[in-house]
Amino acid sequence: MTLAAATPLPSDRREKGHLAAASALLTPATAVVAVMLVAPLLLLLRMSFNRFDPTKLMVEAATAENYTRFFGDAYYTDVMITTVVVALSSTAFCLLFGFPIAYRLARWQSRWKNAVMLLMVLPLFVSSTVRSIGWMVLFSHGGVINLAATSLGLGTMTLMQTTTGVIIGIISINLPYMILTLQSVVEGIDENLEQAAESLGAAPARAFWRIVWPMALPGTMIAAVLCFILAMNAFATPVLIGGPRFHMMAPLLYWEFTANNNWPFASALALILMTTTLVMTVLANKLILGRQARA
Amino acid sequence: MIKNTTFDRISRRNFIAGASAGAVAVPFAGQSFAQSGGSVTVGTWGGDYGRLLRENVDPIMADKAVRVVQDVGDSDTRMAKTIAQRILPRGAVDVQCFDNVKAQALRNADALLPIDPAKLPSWNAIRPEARDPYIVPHIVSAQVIIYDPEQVDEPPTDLDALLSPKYKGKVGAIIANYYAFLMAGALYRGGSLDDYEAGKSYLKDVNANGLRLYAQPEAFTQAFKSKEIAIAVIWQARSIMWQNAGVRIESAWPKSGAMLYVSGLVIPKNAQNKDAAYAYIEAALQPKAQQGFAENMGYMPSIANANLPPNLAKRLELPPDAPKLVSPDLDKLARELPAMSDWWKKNIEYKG
Amino acid sequence: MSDTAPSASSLGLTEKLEWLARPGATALVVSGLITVFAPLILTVYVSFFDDKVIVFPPQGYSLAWYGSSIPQFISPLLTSLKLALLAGGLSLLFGVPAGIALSRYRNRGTQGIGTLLLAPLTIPGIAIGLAIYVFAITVELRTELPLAGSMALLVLAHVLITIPWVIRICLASLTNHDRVTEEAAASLGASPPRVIWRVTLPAMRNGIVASGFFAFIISFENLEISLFLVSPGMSTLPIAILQYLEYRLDPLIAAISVLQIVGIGAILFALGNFANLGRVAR
Repeated sequence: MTLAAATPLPSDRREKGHLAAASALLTPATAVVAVMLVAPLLLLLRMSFNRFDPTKLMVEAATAENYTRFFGDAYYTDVMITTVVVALSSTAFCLLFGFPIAYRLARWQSRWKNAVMLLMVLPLFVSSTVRSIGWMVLFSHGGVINLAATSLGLGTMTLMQTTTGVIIGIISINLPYMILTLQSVVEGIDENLEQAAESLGAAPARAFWRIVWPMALPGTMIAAVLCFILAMNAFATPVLIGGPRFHMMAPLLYWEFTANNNWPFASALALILMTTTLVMTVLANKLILGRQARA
Repeated sequence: MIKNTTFDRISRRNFIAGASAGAVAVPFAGQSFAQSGGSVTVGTWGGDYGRLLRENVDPIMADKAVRVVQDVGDSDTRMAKTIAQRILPRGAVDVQCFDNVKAQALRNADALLPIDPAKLPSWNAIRPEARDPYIVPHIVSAQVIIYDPEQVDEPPTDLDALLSPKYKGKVGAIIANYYAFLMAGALYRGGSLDDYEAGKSYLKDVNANGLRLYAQPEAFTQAFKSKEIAIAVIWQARSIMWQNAGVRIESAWPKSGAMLYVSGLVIPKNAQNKDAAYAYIEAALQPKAQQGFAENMGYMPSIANANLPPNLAKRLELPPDAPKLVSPDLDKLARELPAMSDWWKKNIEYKG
Repeated sequence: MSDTAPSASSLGLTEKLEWLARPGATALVVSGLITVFAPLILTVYVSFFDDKVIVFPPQGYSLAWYGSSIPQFISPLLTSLKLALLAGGLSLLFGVPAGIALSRYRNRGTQGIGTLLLAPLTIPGIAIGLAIYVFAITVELRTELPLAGSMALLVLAHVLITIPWVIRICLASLTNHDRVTEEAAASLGASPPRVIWRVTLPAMRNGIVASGFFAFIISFENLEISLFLVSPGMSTLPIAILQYLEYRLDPLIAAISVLQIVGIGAILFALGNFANLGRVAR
């Protein structure tokens, strides 16, 4: 994602040598991605123009009806809006919680630092299914939060099967990615710059917003985009915490494929989800980084 | 298309005769078709069903030196894989366990092998009304009303109980059972399992009465235990299983009738070990194997000679005021199912 | 956050961080840490429950679930380990050279390929899993190659989703890499492969360890891709856990998860000495 800036090359011969070396190094990985990703996606694209028949299941066709069905039915657009809202708000909270944590970690000098960093990595490796179980204990009818709320006289409080619960579950999964990325971003910013700004009379907050923030912005965007993508594609968390009445795109397309065996529509849903994610991330990059470049 | 309404109005005596006392005992004579040393891959549910197959059917196969490989997964995922693989010359699975509605959909999609009765020595032991050209029935149950006697003071007599304001917010359902629930509503409100529109209007009313949905049977049982819900419509077998597990629930037969649930075994048409598949199905039809399912899961056997022990037979017995037991038109239902599940998702799940 | 400026002279480290150290920021830090760690801590807690169902508070405590969790999950656990080792290894084999090429040769072409190689990260796992499955069946129909449900296909699919991580981390570990040593070696007559072997790879050691570890883990905990690609009778740990959850919700699941956390933690701390894993997600 940070692959810009072409290095000027001295001569033609050298350029040819580079080309050979680059293709030798890149071919195996590119081949895997081409066969395992590009080809299946093209098939998905083709299937999305087929027609569904309840008996024969998939009929070869060239129709846009799967796409018009999506945009013509408020249910599907509602599910997409829910997905985007959940993804945006969980990403916003990840930024809000993640930045102070990452900043303190980055500027922290301690022999425990390495251990704490490892502790931040650990949650990444516990599957979302398992973490949802932890939340169930907290959120459910007989759960910790409800018990505490009733004993404090706050009435019943269950977060199971609520949008808030799903957002919390997703933040919990994505926040470590955010923290780890931002931590290395902040560490890459020379502390002396901040001190210099402040010694010139800038208030710490001002020094932060004028010096640290602009420098951290590109790296922050990468982290935010990653969190956003992961949330858009969330599967286990919405199912396990959200419950049957909470619908998001990834579980919906899985259901359309397995329960209804409607491959054409499931393919269309997959492509619409991918396109939405892609367009939103490109727009956000243009809008935020573009504005910064102009400033 | 065969209109599968043969289960209609099976008299109580008729049904129980099969479930209890030993009728015609067909001796098990299945040595001729068994491959020695082969293997058979069986797609099945996890949990108790898969475990009982392992405990009761696999030993019979082991005696024939056939190794059983279980492919465990929920019914939707296995169905999707069966459909995807149906175009291949060699399929990965030899026997699949599905309910008769899914089996019908697979049959319509040309994914199944017709069952050859000549290859199943126990074919004649299967209750005549349950025989089907593409699925060998394995377990049977009827849909009943279950309720928590501590919360429901007066035993319900029909599905109007679920609409009662007394139980607002206390009605539960397992989402995988959506179509059976809809059909129960159809029977209650439209007088026929095939009146889907009546079923839909019933479900809308139940939903308006604060219907609670559960993804897993386990969560559903928990909800009864914690008194989150008080009343539901579900297979009788489940109520027996939960009673065994100590959950305080009672069951009641709906006046308007009870839909029959039939689950069984099918052979994908591209199964690689067809002989072993027949051997496996034959083993699943043995009285001993069927007793295991009746005892542990509360299902009625699909064979007439199951020889259930008297106390178990009594538990599975239908009440004196015999309810009407009915089966849906499977072909119509299988065709309607994708549209029906769409409707459920949008109008019931999403509008809670 | 207040803008009252402290006098320039009194600036020390603590004051410089002042705005981020204020109660508001501390509240954010604490909420963030709770959100991340609460479910993990609760999972550990639940694994000691004596009850057959997870109800709070528990009737008693026991270690029994640990004993029964291993036999129940040993086979999927071994499958997952094997899969993750194969996928992680192959992913390094393909990903590290690609990372080197992408950091060295920067032009429009490599930039495009770089975007392509990172793309698997952005696509819903459930959609790739389904698409690969249907694609494999289409290919199998024409070639008779037994692809659907084969271990090879499953491993390749996992390589696909782990490659972006390997490349990301390799790129990060090469950003501050000094090319001078490489150029010196080359000018002394070392062939390009030799330069990579002797100079570049040793310099990337930490990055390679970290990316191998990430690849292993991403594969190990993947659910969505494997769901459709496992062969009949085969199961990975995440699939087995999900299937178990469909029928039971008891502390057994928590126990196997804790064992998983402890195992991964142990490897992490062992590796932590020579690989700065904290930098990896850049």
